[in-house]
Amino acid sequence: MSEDIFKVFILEDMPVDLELIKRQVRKFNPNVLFAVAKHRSEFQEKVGMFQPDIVLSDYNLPDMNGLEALLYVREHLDSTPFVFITGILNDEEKVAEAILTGASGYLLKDNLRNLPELLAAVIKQNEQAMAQREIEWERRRSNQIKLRKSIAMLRQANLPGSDEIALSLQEVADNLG
Amino acid sequence: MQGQNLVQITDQKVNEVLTHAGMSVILITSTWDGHGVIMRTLMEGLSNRYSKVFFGVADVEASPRICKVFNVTNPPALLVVKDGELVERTTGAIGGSGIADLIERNT
Repeated sequence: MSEDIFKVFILEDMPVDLELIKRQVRKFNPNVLFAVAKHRSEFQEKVGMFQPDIVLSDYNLPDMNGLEALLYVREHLDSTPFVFITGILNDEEKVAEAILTGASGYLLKDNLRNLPELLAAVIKQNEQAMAQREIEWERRRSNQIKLRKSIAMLRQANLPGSDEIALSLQEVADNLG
Repeated sequence: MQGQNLVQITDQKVNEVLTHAGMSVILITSTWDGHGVIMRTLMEGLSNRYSKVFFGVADVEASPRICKVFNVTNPPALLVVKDGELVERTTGAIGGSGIADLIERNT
């Protein structure tokens, strides 16, 4: 883990809390890249594109709650670990609901100093799934590069019909994402 | 020719970008990526105008680690990192004024 870049998505609307969370994450792994959202549209716009190793989410946000965020992650990012970091998730029913809905854990903001320990445990639990995602991603990257490089070579070759073929292949590459 | 302030980023140097205090603008491209080659030239010019911004360029084939970190499979991609946070990203061709806008709105 120390060699790898740890990618953390934080859903938090309070700037002070955001900085405290970042500080604790850096204690777990200083090689970290963050992405941050403060509300629903920013979250939905950024999280899929970022492909985080873990999502850390407040429960109460201006226009959504943490469970909605968790369900979005489960729908779009498969088994990416999701941890609630909140000041109010102290109601037993809410905790149970969060766990049953697939959260990897939760932490009260008062106990933020325990975040590095929690991150270590969650990452350990998800090691296999993360390794699998990495293999899948590398396969996708390799295919895209081969395709894009072939398109560039085809355009340079300037053969009869090569522009049309390149255009079609370009569409395929764009659709593959 | 590489601009004075446009630094080649390799997989070994990505940590320097993440720990850099302030703004970094990173272009991920390749020699066969026509749009990226043009964007690289534009960034060379911009690197002289925005002296406080770190400008870097990485090769999509030679730098799998950088591509993984920023989730880039289709060059060109432009990434704005500020104090270890990815604040904005674009994929596809973008002109000089577009790159300047990207810098201005994140300053």
